[in-house]
Amino acid sequence: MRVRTILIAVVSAAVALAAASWLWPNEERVVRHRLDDLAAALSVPAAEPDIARVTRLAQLRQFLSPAVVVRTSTQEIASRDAVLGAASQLRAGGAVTVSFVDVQVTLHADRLTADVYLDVKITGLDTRSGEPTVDAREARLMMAKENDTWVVTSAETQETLQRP
Amino acid sequence: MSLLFGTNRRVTLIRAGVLAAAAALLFGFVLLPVRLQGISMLPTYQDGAFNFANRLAYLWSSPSRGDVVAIRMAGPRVLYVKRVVGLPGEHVEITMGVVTIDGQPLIEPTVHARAPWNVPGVTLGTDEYFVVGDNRAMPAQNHDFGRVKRDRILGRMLF
Repeated sequence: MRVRTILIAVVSAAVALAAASWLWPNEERVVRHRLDDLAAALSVPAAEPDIARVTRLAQLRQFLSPAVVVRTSTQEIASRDAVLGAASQLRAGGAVTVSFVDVQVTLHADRLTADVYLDVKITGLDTRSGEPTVDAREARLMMAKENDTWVVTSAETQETLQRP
Repeated sequence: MSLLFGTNRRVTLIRAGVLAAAAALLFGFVLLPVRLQGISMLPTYQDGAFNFANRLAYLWSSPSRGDVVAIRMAGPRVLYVKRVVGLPGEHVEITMGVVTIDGQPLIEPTVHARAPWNVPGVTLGTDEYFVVGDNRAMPAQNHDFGRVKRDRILGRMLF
């Protein structure tokens, strides 16, 4: 009897929790899901046909604000069209998998903007040796909820090790 | 069954739970498992080598020259593994592949080959270290190295 009561209580709590998260979605979780989808859109499958590539770049558009600014240590690209233009120029030799790890999301008080601090991990294969390659960079993103959808308004890579 | 659970199943379960919790604490917070990827620490560590970052190593002391340390990025899941060559307040320069500290060439037994790297001198801040991998035969532009703040150094590699 006691075990049955505990079981019912646990199941009820789980159902209540699931219902609550469905009825009142947690914005931080929404941002994290959005970032997972963005990472998938940035990843390049092996032997990607041109049509699939165009489709993927079109998907990428949905994740960027029209006025997005992307900064790296060497360049700055302003506007969504310019970013997508630069992305279309990148040709991966093979499959490239992008993942975001150690993601820290800080929602602002308005709950319409958020700071995101994460590591971008890029795994692939060296085109010459065929050996697996891994690169990782720290990045800070600013995201905003535009038309009920979270989009990236700025992205900046950061150098963990500061070269002289 | 008695081999698996012993004579008292309840005690065995508690023991297993304590062991699992201890392992989770140990490998989650004290000895971080690290799988090295890349060639920047050759020949000391091969690509794919497995090690642990000891987070207690610098609890009561500071990193020393020659220590191989784990450096966090945004969090602890992606780490740099590099060797400390420059300490706070020192002037570090690399000329033709040779590291100099305050003008004196650094003896580095772990470096077996050197490409002619030239890196302008820098004086480290009070909480800064200069870290670099052991593989100096590779081109400098493909090698991540430089100054790092003390609070980013998570620990020393265990072996």
